[in-house]
Amino acid sequence: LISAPPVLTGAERLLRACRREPVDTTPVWFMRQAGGSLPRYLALRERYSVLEIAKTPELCAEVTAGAVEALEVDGAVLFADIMLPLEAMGVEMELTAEGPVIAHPIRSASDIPRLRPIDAAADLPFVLDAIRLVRVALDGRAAVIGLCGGPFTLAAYLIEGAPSRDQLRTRTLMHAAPEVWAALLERLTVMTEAYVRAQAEAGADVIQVFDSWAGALGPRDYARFVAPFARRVLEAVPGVPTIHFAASSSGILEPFAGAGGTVVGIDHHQSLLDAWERLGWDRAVQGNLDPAVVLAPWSVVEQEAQALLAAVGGRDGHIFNLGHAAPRDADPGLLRDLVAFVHEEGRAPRESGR
Amino acid sequence: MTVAPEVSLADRFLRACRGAPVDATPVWFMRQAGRSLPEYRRIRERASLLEITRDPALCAEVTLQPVSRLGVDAAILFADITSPLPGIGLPLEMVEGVGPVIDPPVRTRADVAALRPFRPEEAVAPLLDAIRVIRRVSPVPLIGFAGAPFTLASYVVEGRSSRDAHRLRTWMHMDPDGFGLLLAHLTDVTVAYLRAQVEAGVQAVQLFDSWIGTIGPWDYARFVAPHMRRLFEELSGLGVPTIHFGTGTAGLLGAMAAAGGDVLGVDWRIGLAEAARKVPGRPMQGNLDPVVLLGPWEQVEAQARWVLDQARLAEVPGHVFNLGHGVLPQTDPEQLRRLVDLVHQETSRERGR
Repeated sequence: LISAPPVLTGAERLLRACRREPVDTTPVWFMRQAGGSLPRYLALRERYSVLEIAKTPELCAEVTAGAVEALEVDGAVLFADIMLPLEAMGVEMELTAEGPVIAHPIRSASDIPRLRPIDAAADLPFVLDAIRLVRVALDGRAAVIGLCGGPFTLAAYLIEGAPSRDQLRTRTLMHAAPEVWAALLERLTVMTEAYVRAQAEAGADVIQVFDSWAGALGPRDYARFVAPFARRVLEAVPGVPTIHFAASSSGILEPFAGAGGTVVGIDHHQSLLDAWERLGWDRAVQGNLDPAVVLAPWSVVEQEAQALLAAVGGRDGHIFNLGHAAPRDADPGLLRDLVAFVHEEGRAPRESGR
Repeated sequence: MTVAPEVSLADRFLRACRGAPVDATPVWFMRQAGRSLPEYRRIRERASLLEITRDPALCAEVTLQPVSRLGVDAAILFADITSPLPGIGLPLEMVEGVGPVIDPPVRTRADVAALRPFRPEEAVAPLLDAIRVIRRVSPVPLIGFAGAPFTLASYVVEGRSSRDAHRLRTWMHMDPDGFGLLLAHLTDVTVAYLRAQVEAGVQAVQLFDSWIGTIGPWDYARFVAPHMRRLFEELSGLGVPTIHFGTGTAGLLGAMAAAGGDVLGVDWRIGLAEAARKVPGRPMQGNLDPVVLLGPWEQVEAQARWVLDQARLAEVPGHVFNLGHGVLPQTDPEQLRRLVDLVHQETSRERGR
């Protein structure tokens, strides 16, 4: 048993957990914590659209940092849609309540040249400026988490054109036209490499790669068709910890983690401990409270969070999070209580060096 | 138990479901009877889907089409998951390009209370007659099926096929007791429907929980598993093997298997070896991704061998080869036929070694 370090800042806590170094208590943040039902965000939404907020550095920074103030989380994930860089590539889209809808989906080889390369500083300056502003505003209270879509998920959005249940069109193209698939993923990968590098240079402490839909594939197809591209994205920011996340990844966990990620984000459709054992204890993990739990009464939230922390048993290298995005209607007061609970319960006694 | 060399084709599928030794791995395909077959499309030119399911002779013909063309080891009754719903008072229509539409859908506890009990001989008599016809002529076992309660509920509440069963899941959280009443009623429907199918002659039954992957294990345990346990308990007295299938279930397999089913049906999003690690000692059905069949034969062959390797590696006690979900309408039946041959050849050779 190693004695707990003195009290850490949120940023230190999260970054140390990424490297599996001892921490004073379990770091915690929530996917889609910025926005949702936070009062300040709702007030801004009366005057601005989601895209206006995301594309105005001051507003984006306010929403991003505002979540840290409201919830006391250890990570500040940027309020940015993973589709933003696709827009910079020339993709016309509309953000609907159901999700993004693409005007002209990618369906054949002739559609690919339409995707132009990006210059992150020129095309997405608002993202980079927002990161700089958040960094200054937070001053280490929380780690700044940059983000991008993973290669499968970006490709699936472009091919399906609208939210879909099982990405059938995408998987069909992958098998029926593997050369089109490879050409598309090559372009998306080059773009994403540039995008995450720019975010790291602007000051992102951590990058989370959201390959949310990769679980639509089986392990063999993931390894063949996606892993080589995901690996390049995850290796694009040496020195900056990466979190590699997919929803419903239980079936592809080995090749998915094999592609990289300092931390592997585990969704709530699997047991965190079982997943961690499959990955090996020398890998940091993030997760995985069922987002549906935070819609339940506090007694249930407390019981489920307690059970998760007890299972982890104070092992180093755990970042507490939900298994997927926080529900938009989650009560901010309850989320704040959950953060306080994780910090309190995660404090002692921690077992290090396992 | 040793393998008798004269093990008949008819036994291969049923034996694998029981985890007994077989001469070769049995194979059938979900939605094997349907749009991928030209002979089915010809029938559809003169009869709608509902008309087929309400005409015993036509239903039997369609059910058996893939048996003769593809050489599969089992037939599955041609019907729709929503077929029993008119019998409990829900108006059902098949809309081209949409699928089954239920209007008005079930939205309140009062709607649930208004649902009628299910009386199979009144509600689905033509399907039961079709089963009797098929049993007289089929060279292979006949599988009956029904939608599992959660999946039926998603149609009943959403009114149609939905991407994420959002309305149903919201109901589940906001009014767990009302949701429970709905699932209890649909469980009764499914039990009665499958019992009638077995009495008419089906030799195995598959539960399709196609929408269950929209919820996590925690919700499954609280809201769905109690109904599934009762369902399988009530089916256990029927004396036929049960196949428990869902999609998007890589993280739910343990909980589903605990709820019941002699065979666990697995979709393509997980390797069978990992599935068997989660649920050891259970016969498994699956799990080639249906989209692979839209690519070149070499890839079909490679992926099918990989599936067989996974089953072998995992020492699955009984493996029923299938796709991870239904045959896609644009699939070339020739690919399916070659796949059946490949599975039989690969697995009989390996057993001869």
